[in-house]
Amino acid sequence: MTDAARPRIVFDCNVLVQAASNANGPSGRCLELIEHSVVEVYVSRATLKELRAVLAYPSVREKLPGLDDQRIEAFVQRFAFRATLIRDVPHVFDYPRARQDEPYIDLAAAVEATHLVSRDRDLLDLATDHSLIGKEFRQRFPRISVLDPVAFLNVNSK
Amino acid sequence: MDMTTIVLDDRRFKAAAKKAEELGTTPEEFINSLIDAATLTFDEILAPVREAFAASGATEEDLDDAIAEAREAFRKQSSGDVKS
Repeated sequence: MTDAARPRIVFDCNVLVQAASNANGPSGRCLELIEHSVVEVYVSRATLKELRAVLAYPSVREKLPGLDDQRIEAFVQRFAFRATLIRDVPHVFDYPRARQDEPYIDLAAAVEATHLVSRDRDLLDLATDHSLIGKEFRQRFPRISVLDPVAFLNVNSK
Repeated sequence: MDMTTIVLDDRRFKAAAKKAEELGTTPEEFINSLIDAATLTFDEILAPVREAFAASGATEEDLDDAIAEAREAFRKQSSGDVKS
């Protein structure tokens, strides 16, 4: 598949951390698409920093007992290795309900992503919410589909 | 574990040491993780993590809760960094 034909994806960090726990779940299968270059994935310094911080957080480490510092670093580096790093991402969208999601929205806008994949209710609501902010998001970024991993896999298996 | 010594020029060693310090790790661990990232698949890197998670009996929802807590802590820390 050519670069032009591949979906252009931004993954929320909750998908990636879930993928670390299980190869066979929807998030793990999304990671397989990255491994096999089925999708074009984008990251920024901000999204990589959050991924690293979340993987290293004590309660996450407690749930993922096999995760040590070296494995975290190898996972993050592998992800960065398979993705395209966007160094300068302008801030273009305010989302007061979930400020932590703004770097993902900004990145998706900067790369003209086809999909923003997340398990986070705040992000997923942007696709369907009748609030002003949801409508504004869909008006400004009509080409970005915000989907959970299951919906994303369904779209990409057709 | 067998060990082999390799030679790095001064510039690369200093760059690796600086990056390792930023990440809270050692230059050796940082360089090892780079080699793993370039040569191992996600499945190979994550196999022990996935085995341990399956054996722990924790669920996706348990992990979602931990991730949400971690993200909130990260957000608070980041907004504190911006203010300071």
